[in-house]
Amino acid sequence: MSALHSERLHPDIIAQAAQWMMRTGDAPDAATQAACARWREADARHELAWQRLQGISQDVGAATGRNLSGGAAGQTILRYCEQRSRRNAMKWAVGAVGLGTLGWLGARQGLWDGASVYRTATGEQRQMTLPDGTLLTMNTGSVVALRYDAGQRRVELRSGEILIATAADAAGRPFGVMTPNGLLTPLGTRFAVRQMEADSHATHLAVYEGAVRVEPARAQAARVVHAGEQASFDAAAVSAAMPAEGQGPAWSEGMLVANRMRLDRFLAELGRYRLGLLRCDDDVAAREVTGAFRIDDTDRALQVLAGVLDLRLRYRTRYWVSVGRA
Amino acid sequence: MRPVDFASSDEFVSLYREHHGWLVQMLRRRLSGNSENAADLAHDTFERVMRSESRAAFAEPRGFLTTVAKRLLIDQSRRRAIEQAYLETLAARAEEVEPGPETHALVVEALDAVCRMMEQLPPRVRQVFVLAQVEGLPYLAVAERLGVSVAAVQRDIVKAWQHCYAVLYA
Repeated sequence: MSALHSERLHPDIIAQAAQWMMRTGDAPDAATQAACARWREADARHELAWQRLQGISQDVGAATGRNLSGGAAGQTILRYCEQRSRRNAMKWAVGAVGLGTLGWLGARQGLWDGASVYRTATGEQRQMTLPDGTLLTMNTGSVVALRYDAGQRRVELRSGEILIATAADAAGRPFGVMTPNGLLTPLGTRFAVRQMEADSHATHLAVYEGAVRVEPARAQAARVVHAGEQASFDAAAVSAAMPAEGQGPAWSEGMLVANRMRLDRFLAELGRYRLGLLRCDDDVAAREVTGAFRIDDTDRALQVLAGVLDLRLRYRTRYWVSVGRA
Repeated sequence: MRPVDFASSDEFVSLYREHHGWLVQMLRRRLSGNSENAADLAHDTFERVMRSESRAAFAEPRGFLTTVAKRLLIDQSRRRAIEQAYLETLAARAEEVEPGPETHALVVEALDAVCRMMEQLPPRVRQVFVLAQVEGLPYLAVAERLGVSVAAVQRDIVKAWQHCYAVLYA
């Protein structure tokens, strides 16, 4: 589900994406695959629709495997649906649709389907329960690879940001999070990890419960970061720990919280949750932003921001916004 | 500026004090007297409110809590119906092995996610989609099995993807 549901796509785009899912769904030839790739690249909204349908396809695929054959899964689904339509109990669907405000909570929660690599699109969040009970939440634009085997439980963060609440493993296998900069070993805990893209390429760690041991790839010694602390590290060293507030990262609650953050940095953060360009004029870049903003509706967040800081939003297109002096 | 849309914890505590009692009563009636399950569902209902950034719970508490609680009841009963259908399927297919208890829960959860998307589709479209996407049959084999044209199968598949999208993102 989470997904952040704010990005409404035109029904025509969804219809086209569904067509491509159909065409590539049954032994597509190279020309069909290439045409599909061209369609996806033509527009960011095409890619978003495609990614969402891919997510659904993963959920559908998750119904089989794990000792359940496709035949048994299919029969169960059809059996349930037929029994249900006999009972004709569809009244509830109306209520569920009206509950838009809660929509994002249930967003794309699901179970690990056994695949090894997961991606979230821009503006999408995804929560998964791994086979050992560990809860993995992926923030916008993230890629993780999972390696669970007889000897280890390992999550590899390739880009983006995740929140992890570990569970004890019955088999006693060690759990670790690998980033390009090193290995994190939690000691019964809840923590968030973000792999930075721009300038630093550092890994940022915030611990909310328990403690996490940090081993940079090229450092001699490991360091332990405790609950209520955050720190950054690269392959060589770990920074001094700073206080981390709250029970978890604001993004896992659907919020972006700023405390005297520079406007250009704030817009860079908000931009992670929306497609297209979000520009900040130089003469307002140093203004300070304080507040909590919804990341599932970034247009509204921009409106609120513009009202409070007396800024002007210039929409060249829906996907190209500049923020400047009013 | 003041944070947007945050509920203060004081507000939440008074909401809980004022409304927890009747919510448990209401759930107990609907669950024909199962107090333990009623208390669990009431707890889940307040947890949803606490995690939500919406102000609706405070503006219209009775309506909001009732709606959330009913939705949780429906989720629970759907989960049970799916589990039942699953056990019936296993019983009908002698060659399937019943997986262990922890796998069982995972299987039901995964089936639940698909059933949510499938249950409102027209029966033929649903059958086509399940045969192709869950059982993994080629479109031609689906067409032969159901005695329709391949073009009809392809139309149904497109319809089903659009429907799944609408269930999750509309």
